[in-house]
Amino acid sequence: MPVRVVDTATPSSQPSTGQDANAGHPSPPSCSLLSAGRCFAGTQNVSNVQNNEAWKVNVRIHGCDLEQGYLCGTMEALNVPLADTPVVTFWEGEIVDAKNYTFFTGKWEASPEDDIRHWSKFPSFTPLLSQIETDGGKSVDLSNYAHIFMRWKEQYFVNVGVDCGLTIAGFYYVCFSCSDGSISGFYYDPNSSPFQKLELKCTNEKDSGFTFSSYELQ
Amino acid sequence: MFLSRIVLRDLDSIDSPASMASSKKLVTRDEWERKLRDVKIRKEDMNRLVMNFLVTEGFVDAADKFRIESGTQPDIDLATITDRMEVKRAVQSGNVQEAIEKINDLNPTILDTNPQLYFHLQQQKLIELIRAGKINEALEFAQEELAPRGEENQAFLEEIEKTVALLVFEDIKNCPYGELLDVSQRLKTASEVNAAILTSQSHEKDPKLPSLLKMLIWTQNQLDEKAAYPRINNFSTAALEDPAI
Amino acid sequence: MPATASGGARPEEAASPSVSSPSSYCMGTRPEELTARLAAAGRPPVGGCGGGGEEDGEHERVRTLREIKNQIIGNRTKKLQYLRLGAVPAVVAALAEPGVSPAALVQASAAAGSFACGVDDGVRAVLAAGAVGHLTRLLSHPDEKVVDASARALRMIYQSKLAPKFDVNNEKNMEFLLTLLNSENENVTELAANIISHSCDSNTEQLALCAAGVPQRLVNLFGGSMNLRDACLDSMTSIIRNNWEVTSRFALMDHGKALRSIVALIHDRSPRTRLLACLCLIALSHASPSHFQDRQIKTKLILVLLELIEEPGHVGDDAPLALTTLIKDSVELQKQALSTNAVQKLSNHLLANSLESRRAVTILLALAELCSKLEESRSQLMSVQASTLIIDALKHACADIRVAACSCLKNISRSSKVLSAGKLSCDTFIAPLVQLLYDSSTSVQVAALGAISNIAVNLTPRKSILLDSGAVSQLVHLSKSMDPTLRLKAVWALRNIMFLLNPKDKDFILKELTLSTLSSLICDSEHFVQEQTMALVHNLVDGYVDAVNYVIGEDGMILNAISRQLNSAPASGVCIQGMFVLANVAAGGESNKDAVMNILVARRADRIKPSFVVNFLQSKDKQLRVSTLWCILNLIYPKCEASSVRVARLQNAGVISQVKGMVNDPCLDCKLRVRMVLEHCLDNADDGFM
Repeated sequence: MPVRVVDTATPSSQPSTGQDANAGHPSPPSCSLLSAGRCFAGTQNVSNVQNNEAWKVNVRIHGCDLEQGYLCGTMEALNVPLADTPVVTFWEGEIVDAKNYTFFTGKWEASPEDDIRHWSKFPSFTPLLSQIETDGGKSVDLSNYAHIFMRWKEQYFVNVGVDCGLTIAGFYYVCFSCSDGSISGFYYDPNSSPFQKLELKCTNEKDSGFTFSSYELQ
Repeated sequence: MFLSRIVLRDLDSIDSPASMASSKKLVTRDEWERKLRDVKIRKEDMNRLVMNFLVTEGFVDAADKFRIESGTQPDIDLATITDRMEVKRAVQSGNVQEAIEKINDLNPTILDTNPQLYFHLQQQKLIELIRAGKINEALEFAQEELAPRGEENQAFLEEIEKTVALLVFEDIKNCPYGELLDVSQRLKTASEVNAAILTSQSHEKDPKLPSLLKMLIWTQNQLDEKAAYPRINNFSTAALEDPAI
Repeated sequence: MPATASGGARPEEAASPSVSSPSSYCMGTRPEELTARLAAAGRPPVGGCGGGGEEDGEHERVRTLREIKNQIIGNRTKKLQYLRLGAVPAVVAALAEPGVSPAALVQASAAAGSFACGVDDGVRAVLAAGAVGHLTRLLSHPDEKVVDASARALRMIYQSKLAPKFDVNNEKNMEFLLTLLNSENENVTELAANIISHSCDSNTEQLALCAAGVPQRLVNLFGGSMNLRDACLDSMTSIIRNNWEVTSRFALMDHGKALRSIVALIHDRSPRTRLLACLCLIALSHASPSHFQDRQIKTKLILVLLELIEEPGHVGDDAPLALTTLIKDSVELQKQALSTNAVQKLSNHLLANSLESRRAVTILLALAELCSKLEESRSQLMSVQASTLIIDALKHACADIRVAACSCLKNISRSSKVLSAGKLSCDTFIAPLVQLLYDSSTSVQVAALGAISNIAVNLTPRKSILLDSGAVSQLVHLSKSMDPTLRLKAVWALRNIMFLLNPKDKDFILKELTLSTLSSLICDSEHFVQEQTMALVHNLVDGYVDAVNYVIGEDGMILNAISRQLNSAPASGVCIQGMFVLANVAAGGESNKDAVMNILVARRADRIKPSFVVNFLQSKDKQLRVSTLWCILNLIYPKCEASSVRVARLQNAGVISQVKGMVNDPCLDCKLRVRMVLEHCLDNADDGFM
């Protein structure tokens, strides 16, 4: 479940858990599979013309604030060449909700053309394309859409120094499926090989069911 | 994240900013005076500034003469200045009890709503007792009147300790807190009293002229960085001095 | 009118000439003697009237009253001493006696007013002696000095919360108030403004004053002296506070001129006026945001208030509080405050001055508010030396400062980003915070728990320092406190510590906590404690098989408690967390699933009372629906014979048909889970298990 941040000066002011916080305006759906504590595992394909290479990747969500269109977490790359240990980075994400963020990045060296080119790689984006092209996506209602589009930008290395032989100059275009919690993404960095694909599956699905953990900030 | 060995970096050389030419604008005396003449200042405003100064500082006779000569009405009843000056004088001459009673007659809410001022007056009273060599009386007063104030307020307690220290030293001049016996301490208390009475009378506690003067100094300093101009260096004559080139 | 302007009687007029010099006192000035003498003066003189003896008696009374007055003004100890001696009734009696000289009235009024200042017992004594009535009557005394003195005394009385409210709903009272407001005497108009500030707090009173044209009159009085203007601003604030109707009328008054006159006062020369004008505008903007959309004014308010922090005295102390009220809950205004360097300015002020004053408390609270939402504020506050100052404040002798420092840390740590960086998760912060869990003041404990609850969420790769700090045993201790807030926050902290904790440490906490404490907390008298406890359990059992055994084992103590709570349908928050516990348990083996199944659907299916699960699925709360659906899904997952038996049981209990009815649930998350549940039902049926 999503992290709630509530002001609780006195017990009597406890808000009920079930308040639909964004009832009034369109924002992406809250999804119980995209919440703090949830883990995802899969690969990042770093292949280029010469070799076919993929890293094992684990992602963990640390926090998620749909109201602000914000989420953050860590990404762990396991079999990185030349690295002795898995490399962990901390990233922050922007959720495309037409309120806080649109499909257009407007920074990180990504032009609108780059944006469209990357988003279009997700099949679930295709139905939205024409509307994005007409009005830039201002009128898109994503509140009932079964996919959540995000940008993840790595901010710093958690367990290694900056001289670890890796760069975090780029960012990820990410598409999350609300129905099964799978994630696909593309790493974009004008100085790196294009369209490196990230594919992750929700790992909380144990043999016999889904489990949940949650925290709540005051 | 991605392997950085593949990353192509072209570092742009950073342009150093062109050095700024230091060219100050020069304003001649004629030009300056002409510009000054263009600024119209109403005589009444100047008079009110002077009156404000006389009233705030308590020059009641001068204020009255100035009122008759210039026709400027003071923003406060001149009679109240006399009362205020009496209180101030009482503190300055060491008659603290008399000052307290006069303040209470002027307005009984001043000392009740201003604990710090009340404390400083009591402290001054103790200082006067010590100065007069009335040691027993001083001790009794410190114990009965000042000690309870110290219990109410940590800062007051420290002040009391400093003041009582005066009693310990045979040679008061060498006491580390000997400055409490200076005339300046009386003046400090007196000006605090003056300010409190003015505030209770809805009057600003500081005259406006000194702050204007401060503003003039500040403005000249600001201007110095940009221009050479006829400056006022002597504030008692306010003479313009030619710019040094 | 010199006497009025001078603010009171001159000594030589007020008292007899013989007392003009203190040294000439020939009588005693001890409180006992003075009180006795005053009581004697109150008695009617023996013998004829109009004699010289009476005049002497009056002189003596004035002298006695004046001496008492001079002893008590500013002096708490003396006030208490006179109160014990019962001097107040005698002083007040002098106000009511026929034929009392104006000089005596002036002295008696001043003494009565002083008794009512700063000492609650003094206020009570003055009120009990009937001073308000006598003083009010004196407001129409022909001698202006008496009017001044009684108005001042009444102002002192009305400054106290103990003073009775002046009922403006009474027509006569309102008329009287308007007379005071229209007086030529500024002491009297100021009194009227004070009475309004003191008495006006209900909606009807505010409307009555508005209907009587009081706001207009107050605005007109802004042109008066500085003190009167300040009093009027303050009473204006009390008339509009939280009252949309009065505020709207005021905003439109004179085509907005009245409003503009207050806006102009935020640039007044007097700092106190600036502060009061800011407070008035803040009250206006809160009461009616629609009339106050001008962002520029709010930016100005922020700037003015930040400047006022440099002012000495109450103004500087209260300015941060006003700023806090202004920016509370508004991301927009907090951003604006941040862009005017509010965090820097406030923390610089703290660094430049000692932590001794009340100002330290108000500044820390303002900083806390600035960090309640914005990451940028948080990182600024953490980067300046202020963070060392916050640590000092945690150890400060004054409880209010400790509370304020905890609020800062609570709000800084209210961020998954800050928690991921783990800067607060070090001994420098944790050790003093944990120490505060033992504080003698409950409010400090509560504040420390707030910060600890947040910092307890460990999002770093390192092991949580809290576990080794001794915090857990004290948190467990506090979770058994009599105080529900302490229980809530302690359980909350434990729940957050449990988040994704490794099994070994979970075990350690559980041993400290014990299953019996846990089950009694599940059934706590307060639902918000129940909710946090349920959440604690759901974190406990996630990914920890042994814990699941604890929960099911021990005669099912915990599961029974949860079952009881869910069946009694308490607050939805409790149910949501309870269903996540069951979902986590149901993600285990067969025995787990059966245990959960038995809670959801009683063995001997009671046809009359449907399962609470059906109610939960019909809940308006989408989170409750989602958590229930996850629990159902785990029960029928994976595909196997046992699962299809459970599907059948759920079907018999009417659960599955309820789920089928939800295929078009307005909540997408619910709709998707419904689909998953139904797919699994089909899968299990396809293979012919059913």
